[in-house]
Amino acid sequence: MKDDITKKYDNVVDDDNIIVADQIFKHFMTSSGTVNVLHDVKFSIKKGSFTTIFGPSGGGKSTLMNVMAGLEPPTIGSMRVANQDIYRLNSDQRAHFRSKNISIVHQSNHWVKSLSVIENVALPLYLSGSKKGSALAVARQSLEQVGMSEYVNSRPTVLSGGQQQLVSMARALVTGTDLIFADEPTGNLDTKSGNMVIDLLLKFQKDFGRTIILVTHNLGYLSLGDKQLYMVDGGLTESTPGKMLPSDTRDAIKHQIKMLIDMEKGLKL
Amino acid sequence: MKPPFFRHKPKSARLSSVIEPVILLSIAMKNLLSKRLRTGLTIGGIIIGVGSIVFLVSLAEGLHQTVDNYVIGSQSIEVVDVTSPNSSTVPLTPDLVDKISHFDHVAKSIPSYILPGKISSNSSMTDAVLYGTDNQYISLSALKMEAGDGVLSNSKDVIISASLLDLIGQPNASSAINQQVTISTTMELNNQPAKDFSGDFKVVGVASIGSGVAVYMNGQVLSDAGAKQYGQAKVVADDRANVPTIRDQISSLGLATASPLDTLGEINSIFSVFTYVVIGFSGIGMVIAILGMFNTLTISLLERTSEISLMVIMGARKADVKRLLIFEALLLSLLGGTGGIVVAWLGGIVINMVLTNFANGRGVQGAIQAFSVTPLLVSLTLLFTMLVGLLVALYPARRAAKINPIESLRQE
Repeated sequence: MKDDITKKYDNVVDDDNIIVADQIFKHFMTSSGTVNVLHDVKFSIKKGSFTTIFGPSGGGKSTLMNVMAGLEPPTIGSMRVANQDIYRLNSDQRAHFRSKNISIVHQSNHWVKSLSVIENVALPLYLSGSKKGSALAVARQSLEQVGMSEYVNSRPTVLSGGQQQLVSMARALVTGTDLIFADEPTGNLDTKSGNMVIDLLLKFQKDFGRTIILVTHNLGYLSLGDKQLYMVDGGLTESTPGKMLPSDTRDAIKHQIKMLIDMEKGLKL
Repeated sequence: MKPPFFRHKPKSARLSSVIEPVILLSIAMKNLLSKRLRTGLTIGGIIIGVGSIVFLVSLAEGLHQTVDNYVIGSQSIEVVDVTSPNSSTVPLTPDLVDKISHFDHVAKSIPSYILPGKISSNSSMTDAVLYGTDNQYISLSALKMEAGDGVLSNSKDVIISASLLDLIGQPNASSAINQQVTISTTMELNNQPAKDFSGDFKVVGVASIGSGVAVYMNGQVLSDAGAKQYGQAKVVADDRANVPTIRDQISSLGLATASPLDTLGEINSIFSVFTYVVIGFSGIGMVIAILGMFNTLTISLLERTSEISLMVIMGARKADVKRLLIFEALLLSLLGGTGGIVVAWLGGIVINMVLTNFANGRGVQGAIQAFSVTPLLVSLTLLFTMLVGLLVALYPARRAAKINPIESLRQE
């Protein structure tokens, strides 16, 4: 008889699931040998949900996000996003697929430095073939949504880290993609700015029906998700509110939390 | 419910869709403008390279045209001069001239008697070459008139060369007009005794034909005096392109032909070599400019690896990335090429003006055109520069398209 976790994957291909990962393995070849970054990862994410991916550094969170975004082909396994096995597409087709389905907010912001804030926000629309006028109009609305409309003509690099992250959120919002990946979006921000970003992600989910996948170290954000994916040493454990994790996973999380608390204490001293 | 803009979907959902060229051009322009000094220096290098090519080639072209004009003068290049190399076996008779005038592509054929004679005035006498012809022949001979209009109005009119002015005791060309001269010659007639001819004529024109002593007179006068064969005929082609064909036909009759095109051909071959040498020298500047452009594009690419990675992550395809780099290179080429042409053109105008002023101050009439920037030169230069830009962009563009976005962002 299958356990609860295994049962989940028997029924993963349905219209409610926007992401279905099946037996994902990812190995990297280094000078010191093969590194197994993802090991038999399988999970599904429902459309319109808020999922947090949590785990220690080097646990494979960012690699998993890149695999989900079509940026890092897995060594083995299939990744279905919006009913498309994305690694059956070539790199150009995946780029096109991303422009239609996926937005990404990074921890560090990257810009086309010669362009203004509004043009950077409009860039994903440009890349998917929009006319300049209509793209800029939508970008302006998107900037209004994140409260950054007064900076439309500024260069993004002159803004503060928090402001840049808000512009980055506007850029993620602008194309109307169903999926928004946020890779440690608060990692470089103070608490206030970080909370603003998280509030916007929640707003995108609740008000606009976006599917949010948040990769985070911040324990405070764990409870926000409809689902938590805990990654350690390339393996993934899934939990949903009200369901107990396996005892070994709980122990690992406790250990991780203790480490973080000790680290915070050390910093205060 | 989502606000309206969140339902916005880009119009083009086809996989073949690409970023709008005008947007790509705008981004390329902004990228170049964001590094003004570097872009300016690169364009400056191209201006020097292209400018030196255009400047020197236009010098070669200008000199070529100047030499052509000097050599050809006002001669019509559709005209073929026909003579008989052996008049005893193939005499240039009226029948033969008439036959030539019926060849394909021959517009007209105008003969002239050419006889040795003497011209006398005020008890002085000298040898002269007598041209017995008509006004059409004189017109085709493109005489440079110093006085008179170069037209024989009646059978007693003559046009003399300026070198005969001393003989008739006239200080200048205008005072020679309406002066009376006596012209005589001896007709060598086949199987008959030689026949002398002499008559009085009125000078109606003075032409500058170097040191030659020539008298242009009505051909009918010499014909009536017994002249039987022409010395030369001017055959006019309906088009310059048909001159070689006509010459071949005439040569097949045993006659000799000469054309201004012969001289032009020799001048062309000399200036072709000169132009290639000039392009070779100025090409060194162009090579340096190309290396500068390549350097700029490559460094720009290295600096913007994360930007390109970002664009790929957001959906840019390889073709979009390549096009962006190519657009930047084409912009550099276009601006540099246009700048180079304008600088060379302005430089040529200034030098032409200086040379003209210098020459005019020393009694030379007319404008000196030492530089000539032709539309063909401008078009070919722009085409060449754009082609170079395209070739220079190929390597950086291919490299940009191969960027691994995750790897490059991770390294940053």
